[in-house]
Amino acid sequence: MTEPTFDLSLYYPIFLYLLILLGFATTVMILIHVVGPRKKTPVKQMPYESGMDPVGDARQRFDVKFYLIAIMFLVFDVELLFLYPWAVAAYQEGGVPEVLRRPVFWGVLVFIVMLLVAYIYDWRKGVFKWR
Amino acid sequence: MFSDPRYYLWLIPALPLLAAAVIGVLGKAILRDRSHWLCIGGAIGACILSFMTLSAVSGLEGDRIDGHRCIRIYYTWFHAGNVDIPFSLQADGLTAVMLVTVTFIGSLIAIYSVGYMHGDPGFPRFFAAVSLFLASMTLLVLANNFIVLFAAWEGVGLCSYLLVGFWYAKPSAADAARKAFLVTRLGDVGLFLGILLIWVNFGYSLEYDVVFERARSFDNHGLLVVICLLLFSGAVGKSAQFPLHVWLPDAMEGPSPVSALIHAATMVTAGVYLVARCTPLFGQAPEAQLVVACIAAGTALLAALIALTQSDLKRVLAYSTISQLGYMFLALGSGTMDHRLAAVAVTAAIFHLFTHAFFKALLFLGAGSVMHAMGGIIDMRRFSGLRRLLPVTHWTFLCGAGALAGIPLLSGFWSKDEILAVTKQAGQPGSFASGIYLLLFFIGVATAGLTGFYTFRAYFLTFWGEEKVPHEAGHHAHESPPVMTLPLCVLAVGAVGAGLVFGPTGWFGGFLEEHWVNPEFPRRLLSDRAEHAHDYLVMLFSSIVALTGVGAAYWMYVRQPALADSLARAWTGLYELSRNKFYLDDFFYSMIVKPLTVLALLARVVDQYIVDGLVDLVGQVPAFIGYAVRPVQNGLVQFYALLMALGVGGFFLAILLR
Amino acid sequence: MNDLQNALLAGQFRYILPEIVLAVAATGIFIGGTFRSGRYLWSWAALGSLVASLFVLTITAGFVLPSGEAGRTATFSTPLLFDSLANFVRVLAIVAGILLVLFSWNEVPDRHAADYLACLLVIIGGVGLTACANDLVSLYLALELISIPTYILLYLPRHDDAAQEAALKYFLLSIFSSALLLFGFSYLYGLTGTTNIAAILHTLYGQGGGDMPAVAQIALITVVAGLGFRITAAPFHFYAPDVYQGAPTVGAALLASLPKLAGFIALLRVLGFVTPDGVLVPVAGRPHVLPGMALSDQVPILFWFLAAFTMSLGNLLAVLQDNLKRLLAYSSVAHAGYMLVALAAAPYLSERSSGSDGVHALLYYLVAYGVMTIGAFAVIAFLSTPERPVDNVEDLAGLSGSHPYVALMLAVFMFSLIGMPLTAGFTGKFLIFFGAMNVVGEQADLYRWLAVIGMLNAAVGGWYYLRIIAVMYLRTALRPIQGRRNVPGLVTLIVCAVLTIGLSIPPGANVLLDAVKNATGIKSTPSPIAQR
Repeated sequence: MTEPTFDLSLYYPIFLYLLILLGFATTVMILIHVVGPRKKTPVKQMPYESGMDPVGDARQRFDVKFYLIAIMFLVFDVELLFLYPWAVAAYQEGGVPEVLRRPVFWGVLVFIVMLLVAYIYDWRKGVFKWR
Repeated sequence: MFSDPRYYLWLIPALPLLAAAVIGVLGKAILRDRSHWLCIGGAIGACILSFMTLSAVSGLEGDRIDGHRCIRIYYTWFHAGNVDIPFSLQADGLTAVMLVTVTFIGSLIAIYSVGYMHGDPGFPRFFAAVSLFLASMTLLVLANNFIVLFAAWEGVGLCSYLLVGFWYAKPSAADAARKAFLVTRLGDVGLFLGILLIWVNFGYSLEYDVVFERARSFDNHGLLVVICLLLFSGAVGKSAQFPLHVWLPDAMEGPSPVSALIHAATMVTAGVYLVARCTPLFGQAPEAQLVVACIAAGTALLAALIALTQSDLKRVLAYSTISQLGYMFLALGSGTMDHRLAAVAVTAAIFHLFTHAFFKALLFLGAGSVMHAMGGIIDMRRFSGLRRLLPVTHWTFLCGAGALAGIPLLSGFWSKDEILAVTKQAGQPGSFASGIYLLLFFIGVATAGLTGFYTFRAYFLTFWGEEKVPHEAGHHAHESPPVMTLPLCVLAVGAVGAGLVFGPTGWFGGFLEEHWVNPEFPRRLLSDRAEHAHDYLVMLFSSIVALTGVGAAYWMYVRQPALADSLARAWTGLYELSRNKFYLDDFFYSMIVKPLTVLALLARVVDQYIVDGLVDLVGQVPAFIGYAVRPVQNGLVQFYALLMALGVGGFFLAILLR
Repeated sequence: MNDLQNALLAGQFRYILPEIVLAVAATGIFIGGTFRSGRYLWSWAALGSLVASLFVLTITAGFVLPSGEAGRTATFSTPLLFDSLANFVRVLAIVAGILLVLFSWNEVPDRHAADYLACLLVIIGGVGLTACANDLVSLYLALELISIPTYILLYLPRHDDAAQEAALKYFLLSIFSSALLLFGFSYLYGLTGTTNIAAILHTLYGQGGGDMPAVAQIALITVVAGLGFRITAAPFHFYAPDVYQGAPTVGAALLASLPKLAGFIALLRVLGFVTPDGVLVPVAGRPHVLPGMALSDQVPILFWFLAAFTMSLGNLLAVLQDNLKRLLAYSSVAHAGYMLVALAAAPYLSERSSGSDGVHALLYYLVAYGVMTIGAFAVIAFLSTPERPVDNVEDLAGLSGSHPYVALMLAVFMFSLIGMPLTAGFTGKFLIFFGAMNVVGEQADLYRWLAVIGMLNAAVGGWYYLRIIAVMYLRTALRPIQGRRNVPGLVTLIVCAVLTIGLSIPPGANVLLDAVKNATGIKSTPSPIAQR
C-alpha cells in the first residue's frame, strides 16, 4: 500500500464547516449585543449566574451529589459518542467486516445493557434523590 | 499383580509405618491398650509380604545378570543439578532373607510384648515405636541406594533411642539412650563421609549397581580402602564393635522385647548387612577386610571375656551379642580377593546372622520372662533354681543357650562352624596375610569355648541350684502368660531346627549364591570350585572346645559352686579386669568425655562473651540502617510521588549515561 | 486486516468465557446487592461464580487453539493470547479469589458486602485478562480492571480515617504509575508502529539488541516503573506500608498477592521473558538476543539493581516495625526483591535447560509467596475483634496458649517467609538463589554477589519474622486474645498452611514445578546452544 498523496481538496468540507461554525458564533454574539435587553442587577453581574461565587476561599465544601450527577451525565454522554461510529460503520460496505458484525453487535448490546445496569444501580442507590 | 513383588515392595515398610502413624496419633486417646493390634497387624502383614517376596525372588532366573532381583523406582526423591536421588526399592536374595528374618522375629516379639508391656502407661508409645522401627529396618534392607539406606539407618537409630529411653523417667535409661545415640552417631559420621566419597569418586551416583560396577574398574586402591574403612566405621558403631561397643550393654535399660528385637536380632545386624551388601567394594580392598577381621576377632574375644563375670543376665547376653556380631564380621573380613572365598564368607556371615536372630531373640525373651516373674530383678545373684517355677522358660532358654554355645546339631553350631571354616581357609599358608588369619581362627575357636562357658554359667546360675526368689517378686512368682510363652516356643523350634534344616543341606548358601552373590559379585572374588563342603575337622575341634566350656560351667556352678569364688579370689586381677569391662568405659570417660567437657566450658566462655558480642553488634547494623532510612517514609503522598519520579529519573540517568 | 485476522478476532470471545462468567456474576451481585444486603448470601454467590469460572476455564482450556499459519497470524494480530502461561495464571487468580472470599466472609459489613465481592470478582477477571493480554491496549485495560475496583475495595469494608487515607493514597499513586506505564507503552508504539506485543517483541528481537535507540531505554524504564508500582519494587513501593496499615486486612492481603501476580506477568509479557512461538527466532546475520533483553541489553542490570535495592530496603525497614500489617508490607517489598532476582537472572539462565530457570523460579515463588502471605494476613484477621484488635506484634503475645493451632500455623507462615526447609518459601528461595548462582560467563560473579546479598537479606528477614514467633510462644498476654468463631477464616488458614508445606515436598512440589514448567513452555525459547 502506497501512501496516499496529500490532496487539499479533500479537506474543503472541513474548512467550510469551520467557517460556518465561526460565522454562527460571531453572528450569535453580535445578535445578543444588538437585540438582547440589559438589566444590570448584582446577580446578573456574577461570572456564573447559577453557579458558585468564584471569588473567595477555593477550599469550600462541595456537595458530592454534584459529582454523582456529573459522572452519570458523562456515562450517558460517552455512550452516545461510542454509538455513533458503530451505527455509521456497522452495516456499511467496507465498514465492520462480515465475520465481526455479530460479535460487534453483541458487544454494543452488552455496552448498552451495562449502561442500563449502571442506571439501575444508581437508581437503587438513591442517586436521583436530591436529599 | 501378587506374583510380581515390584507392586507390593513398598507395602513392606509402609504397613508398619501406617501402624506407627495411627498409633502415634490415636494411641493415647482412643486405642490405649488396644494399640498392639495395629502393630501386630502391620508386622504380620509385612511378614507375609516378605515371604511372598522371598518366594518370588527364588523364582527369578538367577543366572541372568539382571534377573536376580526386582527393582522399583517409585519417584525421584530429590534432584539437585544433575544428580537424581530416586526413592527406589530392590529385593534380591540378601534383601529377601533379611526381610523374612526381621519381619518374622519382629512379629513374634510384637506378640510377646503384649504380655510383657501389659499395664505399662506407655503401652501405645511402645508399639508405635516398635512399628516405626520395623518400617525403618525393612526400608534399610530394601534400599537401592546409599541415601535411602542412610535415611533408614538414622531411622533405626532414632527408634533405638526412643526405645532404650522408653522408661525416660529413670535417669539410667535416659543416659543409656543418649549414650547409644551419640556413640552410634560417631560411627555414622564415618559412614556419611564414606558415602560422600563414593558419590564424588564413582561418578556422582549412589545406586548400588552403578557404584559396584564402577568400583570394578576403579584404580585408586588407597582411596578404595579408605572408603571401605569409613563404611565399616558406620558398621562398627551400629553393630557395637570395638571400640564403639560400649553403648550396647547400657542399652539393656530398655524393655526386654526391645533388647531382643533391636539389640540382638535386627538393628545391630544392620552393620553386618551393610558390609555384606558392600562386599563387592570390600572384596577389592583386602587391607580393609583384614582390619575388619582383626577388629571383629578382637571384639569377639574381648566381649566373651567380659561376659564371663557379669552378674546381670541381660548384660551377659548383650556381651554375647557383641561377641557373635564379631563372628559375623570375622567371616566378612575373611572373604578376601586373594582367597576367592567371598561367596562362602558372606553366606556364612548371613547364615550366622539368621540363626543368631532366632536364638538370641529367644534368649532375650527368656531373660525377659525371668525378669517378668522376678518382679523386674535381673541380677543372677538374687535368684536361682528357677527351673521348676518357670518350666517353659527354662526349656526354651536351654534351647537358646545350647544353640548359642554351639552344641552340635543346634543352629548356632552350623553357622559358627562355617565361619570358623572360612577363617581357617583364609589362613592357609601362601595367601594374603595367612598368618594373621590363622591367628584369628584360633581366637575364634577360643571364643567358642568361652561362649559355651559363659552361656551355661548364666543358665546354671539362673535355673539350677536351690530355688531362690527375690522379695520383689512377692509370692506370686509364676510362669508368664501364653502370649509370651508361645513366641518363646516358636523361636525355640527355630533355634534348634533352623541350622539343621538349612546348614547341612546347603539350601541357605545355595539360595544366596544363586540370587545375590553370583550375579552381583565380581568374578575374581569368587572361587571356581563351587564346593561348599563342611570342614569336619573344624567341626569336631570346635565342638570339643564348646562342650568343654559347657562342661566347665557345669562343674563350677552346679557340682562345685564354691570353686567359682575361689577361682575369682585366686585371680583377683583378671577377675576384676573382666568384671569392670576392661575399664573401657572409664578409659573413654577420662580420655574423651573429660577433655570434651573442659573444651565445652571453654567454648561457652568464648561464645558468650566474644562471639555473642560480635553477633549482637552485627544484629544492630540492619536496625541502625533502617533507622537512618526511616524518615523517607513520612506519609506524604506528594513526597512519595516525587520519590517515584526521582527514581525513574535516576534510572534514566543510570542507563542513558552509563 | 484480512479475513483470517477478523475471523480469529471474532473467535476470541469463547476463550474468555471464564472472565465473562466473572463479569456477569459481578454485575449481578452489584445489582442484587441493591435489593438485598447480607454478606453470607453474596459470599456464597461469589464463591459459586468463582467455582463456576474455574469450571468454565477447564472447559475453555480444552478448546483447540488456532495453529499453523492461523496460529502465527493469531500471535501477531489478536489482542489476547491463550497460552499455557495464561491458563496457569488464570487458575492461580481464581484460586486466590476463592481464598480471599473465604478470608473476608466475616470481615465485611453486610451493607457493603455485595459491592465488595463484586469488586473482588472484577479484579480476579482483570488478573485473568492480564495474563492473556497480547496487546498493549488490552494489557493496559486489564491492569486498570484490577486497579479501579481496588480503589473501591480498599475503602468499602472500613470507613475510618485510616482506610480513607489508604484508599486515597493508593488511588493517587496508582494513577501516577498508570500514567508512567502508558507513557512507556506510547514509546513502544512509536518504536515499532504496532500495539501487538508479539509483533513489538518480534521487531525488537529482530534488530539484535545492543544498538537500541534511547527511546527504547526510556520505554523500558517507564514500563518497569509503572509495573514496579504494582509489584512494590523500590523506589515505587512507598505507598505499601501506609496503605497496608490503613487498609482493612483483607484489602492488604489482596494488595500483597493479586497486583503482584499481575505485575510480574505483565513484565514477563512486555519485556519478552516469555514469548509465543515464532517471536524469538534468531535472525541470520544479527546477534542472538537473550529472552527478556528485547528492549535493551541493560535489562538484567536494571533488574539487578532493582532487586538488590528492593530487598535491602524492604528488609531493613521491616526490622523496625511494630505494626504487624506494616511489617508485612515491608516484607512484601522484600519478597518482591527476591522475585526480581529471578527475573534478573532469567535471561542468562534461559540458555541452560537446568531445572532452575529464572522464570520457573519466579512463578514458583509467586505461588509460594501468595499462599504464605494470604495465610499470614488471614491469621491477623482471624484473631482481631473490634474489642481486642491485633495490630502490633505485641498483641500476639500468649497466642500459643490461647490458640495453639493458629499459633502453629502462623509459625509455619513465618518460617516459610524466612525460608526454612520444608516450607514453600524455602523451595522458592532455593530455586531463585540456585538460579542466580548458576549463571555462567562474565556475569557469573555479578550474580553470585546478588545471591549473597539475597542471602544476607534473608538473614535480616529471619530476625523480624522470628520475633513474631518468639512473642507468640514466649510471652504471655496482658489481655488474652478473644478470637471469634469463624469457620471460613479458619478454612483459609488451614488451606494456606497445608499448601505452604505441601508445595515444598513431593508430591506437591513436583506438581507445582511441573505446572510451572508446563506454563512457560520450554519449547518457546529456542536454545541457541542446542542449535549449534
